[in-house]
Amino acid sequence: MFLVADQEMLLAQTIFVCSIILISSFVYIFMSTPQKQSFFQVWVIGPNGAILEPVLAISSNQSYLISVGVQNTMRHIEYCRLTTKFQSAPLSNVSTTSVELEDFRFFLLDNETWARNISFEIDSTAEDAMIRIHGIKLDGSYFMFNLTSAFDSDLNGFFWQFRFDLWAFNTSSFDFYSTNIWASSPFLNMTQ
Amino acid sequence: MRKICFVLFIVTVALGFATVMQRSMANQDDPSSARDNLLQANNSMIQAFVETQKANSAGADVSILKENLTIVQDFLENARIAYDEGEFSTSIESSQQAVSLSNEIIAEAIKLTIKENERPNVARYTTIAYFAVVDFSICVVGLYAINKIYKRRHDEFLKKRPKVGDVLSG
Repeated sequence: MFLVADQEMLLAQTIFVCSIILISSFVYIFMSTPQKQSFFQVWVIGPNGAILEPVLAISSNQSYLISVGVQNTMRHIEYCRLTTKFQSAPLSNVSTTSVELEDFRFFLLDNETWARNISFEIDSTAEDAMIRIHGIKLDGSYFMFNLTSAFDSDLNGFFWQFRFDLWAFNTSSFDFYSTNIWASSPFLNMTQ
Repeated sequence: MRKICFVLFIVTVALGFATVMQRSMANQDDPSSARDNLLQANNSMIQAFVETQKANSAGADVSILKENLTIVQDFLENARIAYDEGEFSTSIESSQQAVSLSNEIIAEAIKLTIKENERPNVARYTTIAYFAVVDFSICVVGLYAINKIYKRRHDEFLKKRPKVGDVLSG
């Protein structure tokens, strides 16, 4: 096969073989690297998957239902913690106040979804130019606190919302870390 | 004399049994013991999760282990509720159930991890073999082509080169 043996030809053949090896190595590494992104998703929707209006009119001591969900696409099982916070909506110039409520802990396999319907009932009274919230009944459990909300004159109402923050367990530090992924309920307008 | 010894023996045994039972009962109603059990159960569940995640990352199917982890969490939640309500013996019982199931999960997860690590990675070896065959084929064809090109150039060079007779006659 190799009838002509001169240095130029040997050099060309060596370069060719090395190029093939290099190119195939790069292709192999590229193919071996997982292409799928790993992340979490959190969402808040209405019961039965209905899309919620951006603002919900809320009356005191009336029961409402929202659905919160989490999806794990981290490529392995995760131990999650979903914290629930009730806060004044960060709108216009009204300062935000918040209170921690129930937190949910659950295990999720890769590509698995955790969803839960959450019923809530806000116990509040109207006072002069503010709303006083005495507590919230969340999934049957009553959380007592005392928050007041100033009237948002720009938007003409008292706006609050639920915020769900996702935490995941870190097996190195043996503690939950914030994923910085969260979802919030629609603005709850408590003027009515 | 024998009778007295027998009665003394029975009384000693009964007193000993009563003491052990009393200690056991006292231990069960002890909040610090319930708290220790809760901590232990929580640590066991975390350890079970860590091992399950290792097995999962190694490629094992851990769906059953995940179901068991959820049960452990329920036990732990029951233990916490019982502790908060002052039912320490119930709390200890639930904690111990959580520890027991966690230990089973840990054992199963370790087994799965070892199994996955020992299993030859067929997909990887197949890909490497595929690349080797393709590379070899391309190299053979390429080297043959290079050789042909150089051979043709060499032949053309020989054809164009003036022959010895021409040089002498010229």
